[in-house]
Amino acid sequence: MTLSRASRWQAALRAPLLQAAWNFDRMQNLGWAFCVYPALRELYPDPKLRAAALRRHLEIFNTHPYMAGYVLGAALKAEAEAAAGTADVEAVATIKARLSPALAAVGDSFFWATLRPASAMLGIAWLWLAPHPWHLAAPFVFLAVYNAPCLWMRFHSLEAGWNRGEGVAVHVASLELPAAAEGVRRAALVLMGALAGSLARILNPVSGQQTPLLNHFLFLGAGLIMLLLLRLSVRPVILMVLCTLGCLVLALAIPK
Amino acid sequence: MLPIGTLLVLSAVAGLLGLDSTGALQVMVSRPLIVGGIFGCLMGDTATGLAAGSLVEMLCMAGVPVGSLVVPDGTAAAAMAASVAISLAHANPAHGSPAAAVALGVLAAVPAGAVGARAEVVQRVLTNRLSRRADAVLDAGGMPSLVGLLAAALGLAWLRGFLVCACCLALGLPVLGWILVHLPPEGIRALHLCFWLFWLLGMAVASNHFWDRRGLKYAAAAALVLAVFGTQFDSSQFSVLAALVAVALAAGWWRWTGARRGELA
Repeated sequence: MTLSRASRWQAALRAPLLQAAWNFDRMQNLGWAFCVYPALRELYPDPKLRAAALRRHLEIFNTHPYMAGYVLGAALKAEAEAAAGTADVEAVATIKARLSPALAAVGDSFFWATLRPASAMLGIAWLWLAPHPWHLAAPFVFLAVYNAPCLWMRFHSLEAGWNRGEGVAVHVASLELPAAAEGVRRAALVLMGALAGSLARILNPVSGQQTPLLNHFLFLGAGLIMLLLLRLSVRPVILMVLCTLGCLVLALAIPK
Repeated sequence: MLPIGTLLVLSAVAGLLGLDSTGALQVMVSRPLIVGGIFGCLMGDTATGLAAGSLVEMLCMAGVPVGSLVVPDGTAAAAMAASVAISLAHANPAHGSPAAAVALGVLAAVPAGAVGARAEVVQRVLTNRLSRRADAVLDAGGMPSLVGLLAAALGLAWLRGFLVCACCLALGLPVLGWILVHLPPEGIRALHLCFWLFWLLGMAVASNHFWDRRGLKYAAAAALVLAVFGTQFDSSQFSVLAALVAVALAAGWWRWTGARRGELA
């Protein structure tokens, strides 16, 4: 028995709601069950068998939402084989348990910890450095740069998982996402360096005149001190409070 | 301050945008930069909204929602920062520059983000019941309505975002408005300075997040190039920046494809 392409596409289209009912008990279980339900309806016409399958899919599940398509494809393939009697139903749970933590780690590291902040930095740099009124396009720059790879991942992953089954882990490894993350991270660092250097020029935006070179280095130096404190595990909130107090002291001490 | 109708509309929008952070889609319209822009658009001052949103975006950049970790609510924080910045800048133009209002908005965003995170924990605990409800229906021999359960969970998430934003705005705006009106000129100057220091802090938070010993020299070189040799803060500098980013991206692409070639070999 196989699964129709329509059911697989329904699963892919439902995947953006994977975390809709995220809960501490069993995390993404309801969203996962929602994704696989059209496939279960096709594979198990008998309501009792379908209910048993649904109960299996309501067990604890958690992975990265963009990478879930790989697990979904591989699990649906195993489910189709189980429904046909060519594989054990336990294989579905095994695939979910094996793939989901590994893909969650890769996805969290690449998408959440690298691509999202880097895209946001690009949007912020656009906001502050693009000529007016183009600077107002900053949110679109952020959304476009971030969502292009994410959408590709979401829509290619389910078919990849379906075609490769449990071997999809090899395919994900071949994408070299850690190396890509390193490249993105370095690009973000260059961007931030350039942004810091550029912002040093706008200390005196009212006069529109060049500020003395010393001011640029004072500005960058203050930033480096903050960076040092953050490296020493001082929390940003504490630094915010210190900044506010420091500014109050400066404003009181230095005449206008 | 804000009329009640506007406050309710803004809170409803914040609730909708907040759904994107965990519950639905995750196309990042819930990120502070976007929320700031949307709130700015709704309140008639997109530039100030974006400035507030971009500051909050940088300050909460390090929050990565790994596993069941609940990070500060960037949507509520940006909604608060943008609303406070725009309404105070427009209501009290004589009492300080927009930069001071943005700085005050960013300060107000900190408790809003923390309250949002606490509310998200409560929401997730309540969602546990929906998961158990599905089990109960299966035990009773029925088939649970997954669409209904997901709709209930999304409704709960929207309500959480709505309530957090409405409460923060209703309580925070009058208090902050009073503070801004009664601040002496030194206080306004301090807030103006805070704006730039928060910028620096945001940059430091972002640099700390991307910390990479080997990549740091590129960042330092880029900073020095633009600080020393940059001519004017205009489109020509933007071109230099764009060229630098293009080179950095090309280097990253080369490394990635190199790694993939090595893997395939």
